[in-house]
Amino acid sequence: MNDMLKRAVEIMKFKRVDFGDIRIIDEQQQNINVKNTEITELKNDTTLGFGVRVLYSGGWGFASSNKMTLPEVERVVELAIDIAKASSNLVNSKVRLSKEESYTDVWKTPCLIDPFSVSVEKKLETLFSVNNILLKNPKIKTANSKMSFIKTHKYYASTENSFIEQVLIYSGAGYNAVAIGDDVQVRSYPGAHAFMLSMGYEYVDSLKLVENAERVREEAIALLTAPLCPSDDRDLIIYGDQLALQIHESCGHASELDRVLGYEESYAGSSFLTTDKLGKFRYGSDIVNLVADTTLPGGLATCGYDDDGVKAQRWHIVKNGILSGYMTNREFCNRIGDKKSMGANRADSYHSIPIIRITNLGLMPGEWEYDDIIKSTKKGVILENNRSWSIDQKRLNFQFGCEIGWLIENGKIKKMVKNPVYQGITHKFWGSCDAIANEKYWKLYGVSNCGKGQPGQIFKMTHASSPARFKNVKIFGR
Amino acid sequence: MNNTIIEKIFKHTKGFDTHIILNSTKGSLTRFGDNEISQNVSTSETRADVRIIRDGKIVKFIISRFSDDDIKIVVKKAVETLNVLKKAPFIPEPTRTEVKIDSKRYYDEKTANMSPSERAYCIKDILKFCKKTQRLSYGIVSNSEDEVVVANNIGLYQRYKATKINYEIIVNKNNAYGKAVGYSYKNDINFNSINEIAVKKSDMACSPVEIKPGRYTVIIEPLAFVEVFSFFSYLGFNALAYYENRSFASGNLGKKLFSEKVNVIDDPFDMPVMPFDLEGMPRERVVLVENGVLKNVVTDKKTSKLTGLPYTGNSIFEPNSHGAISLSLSMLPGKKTSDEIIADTDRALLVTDFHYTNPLKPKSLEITGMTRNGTYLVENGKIKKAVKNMRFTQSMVEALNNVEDISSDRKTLSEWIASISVPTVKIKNFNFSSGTEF
Ligand SMILES: [Zn+2]
Repeated sequence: MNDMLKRAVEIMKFKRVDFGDIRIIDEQQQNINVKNTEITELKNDTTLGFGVRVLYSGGWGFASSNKMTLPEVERVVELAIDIAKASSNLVNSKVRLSKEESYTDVWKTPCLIDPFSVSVEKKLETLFSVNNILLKNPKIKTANSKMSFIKTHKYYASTENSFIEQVLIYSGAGYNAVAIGDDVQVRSYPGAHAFMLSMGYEYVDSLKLVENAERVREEAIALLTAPLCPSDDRDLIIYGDQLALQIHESCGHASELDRVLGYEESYAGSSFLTTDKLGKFRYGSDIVNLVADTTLPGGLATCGYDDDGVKAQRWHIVKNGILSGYMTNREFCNRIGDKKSMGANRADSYHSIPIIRITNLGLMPGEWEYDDIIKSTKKGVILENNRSWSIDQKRLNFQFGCEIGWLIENGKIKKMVKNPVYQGITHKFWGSCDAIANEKYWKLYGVSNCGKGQPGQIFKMTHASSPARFKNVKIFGR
Repeated sequence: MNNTIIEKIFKHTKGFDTHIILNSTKGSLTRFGDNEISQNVSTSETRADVRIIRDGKIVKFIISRFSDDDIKIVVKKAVETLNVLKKAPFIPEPTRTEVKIDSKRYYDEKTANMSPSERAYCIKDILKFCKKTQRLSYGIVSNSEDEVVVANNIGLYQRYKATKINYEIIVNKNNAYGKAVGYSYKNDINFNSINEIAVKKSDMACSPVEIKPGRYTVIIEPLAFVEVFSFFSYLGFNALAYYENRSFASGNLGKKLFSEKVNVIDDPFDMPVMPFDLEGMPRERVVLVENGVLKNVVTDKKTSKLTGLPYTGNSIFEPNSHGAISLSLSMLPGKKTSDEIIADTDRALLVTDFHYTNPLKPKSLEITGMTRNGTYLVENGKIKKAVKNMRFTQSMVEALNNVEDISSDRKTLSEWIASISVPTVKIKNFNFSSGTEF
């Protein structure tokens, strides 16, 4: 590995590139899916390859390969330089990266139990036990349970003399029960999307998968005969992976600086959080604090350094309701007057170019006891776990469906309702946030399927939150 | 070299039923934004998806390093895993077929080898034009080459080698967006005419007026229609969803569900698509909807067994929890051109593109999403003005029953081994549920 890193840097320096780096990624992944009593996926995957990024005369070039030889490194570096030259003829202004220190460091995800040291038998036993419980009632037609583990060993070297080695570990487990009657109802645990964190197998143990299965089964069945969510304006109390996804779609993507500047327009669009709004725009109510943090223990985007070689940090995107920052990298941070990057540049594999990604982004806890939020709600509904999601190309009009709702009348939980869907406009919605539960209720929810870029990249991040209340939101049952 | 890899894997998995999907891909993409190239990447990768079966037990794994030592290590681990498993309830039979396929019908060497500077050349004019005229342009031009070999150790060996070139352009002037795309397996794309459409769409999209959410007649152009129609592939015509009562098709074979104008075929012979599935089975032409009547769903090995329906060659490597996927969905053309449909319309919304579509209710294919890149009001046969973007929340099963017209011109779009061919479709009573600020 070291030979390859050294050789690549040597050539890039010799060719006098403005900047160049190489990432070697050695990744191990295991996916296990059990549907009812059948293993539908049991796959071990290892990938090894390298990507070379070159800035030449102000233009970018990137090339990659999975042939791990020195001549191939030479070929790929030359190719990346050629591509950079072709780009440099068609740029408006030469790309200049922000200054960064050189680091020589090793960083590892803190991990108690290496997930790859746990036997497949043990993993399968847990998944089969869960499905067994879910299938005990014949109204559950399908039980899906899964586990997923990733160990990413990354080696990074740059023409700025950084040499960084990182070992990132991710563990995930979860399941859902599909009840079918006149309707199809799904209940999932620990979330519809959230099932993974950056931890060892201790995360799987902490989930108490088997212990939660009976509740999940009974709620799925109850949803079949539950009344439809009413259509009106109500106070919403949102938690779980639904609130995570709300943060993700309406704040996370909206605050990616490359998107804000128009560089994602050709795919998922831009953002209403234009740079003229920085430090001024009221994004949410006074109690809304959204904090990006790549140092968060357990966060899926947590790391020692990003793929620009920038050290992990914590910063506000929204502070006391006001837009206060963006997800940035070394290429674009100067466009908002920042001298240094916040370190949000990430690639999903050796064959992808690093782009700005949402990092871990959490809603900071408020001061409320959860029970007091419910007691002080006259006409509301509690919503948990995402079922459908969509947001417009400037991140304003969103619509989310949830797995389950519980109606609140005069401070009391009255009944379960099915198929709740709520819709709003981002800044009005966050502006109506009037209660956030305290740190006792603050939990981490992972998003492990976030798509961005062309060619498409999938990345992982965590959105921590405690339950929060939003006033007078349009909700309906479908 | 691919033959050597396959032979090596067979050698290391002696004594098993072995099935291999070997995929070599080489792709390059130039992306531009704000009238400049913003990304320029190239990648190549070879990987083998392997399944081994012995004594009723089954395991899948991926090999991406192909030295004897590397393969040996991966296989050894897989066998260790296999040994601790119980017998699987379903074992896919090894594929046996007389039909040997070696297709290079959609391969073009020049497209495979397009250089970064050739891609830059394709977009040079539009970048210059937009700069000069105070417009902004965003998009991609990409070229790729894929070779897929599906083989097993009882003689199956199917090969498909194909190229693709893909062009997408969005033009923006003062927040008025227009989009157009071009796609082909060889470089016969007329970049200028595509650019002209995007510029015209953007120009027509300026000063949009707000209209109230509600039910409207819509004319949905191919780019938008593909966004909603593609959900039929894995949620609708999929025999597993059908069998599990999760599809609109469940219990409805032979029933008239849609307007008689609607004809849908899974047609591997009509578009650039792999002519066999990932089990190596030759694909067939499957009539899914005929004059609005639901005729068939597509199957793989497992769902063929479950449903008793014939195996149609729509497998995506079994076992899996997804089921059978239609890989070449085609809505058959109507008689009028898209322009004639507009000219014959009293009042409707014309939709260029849909954004961020997602199913609310998979069974009725109730989908939500936003309009994007040019939404207009058509009155008395003419495009009158632009309207602000809106969110729709609409069952596509109901929508296909409300089809009033289907265009004779169609667009074929493609991704990896799948393609989809769609016309412009006019639909009445299409539900727009809310608006946005632009
Ligand atoms: Zn995302």
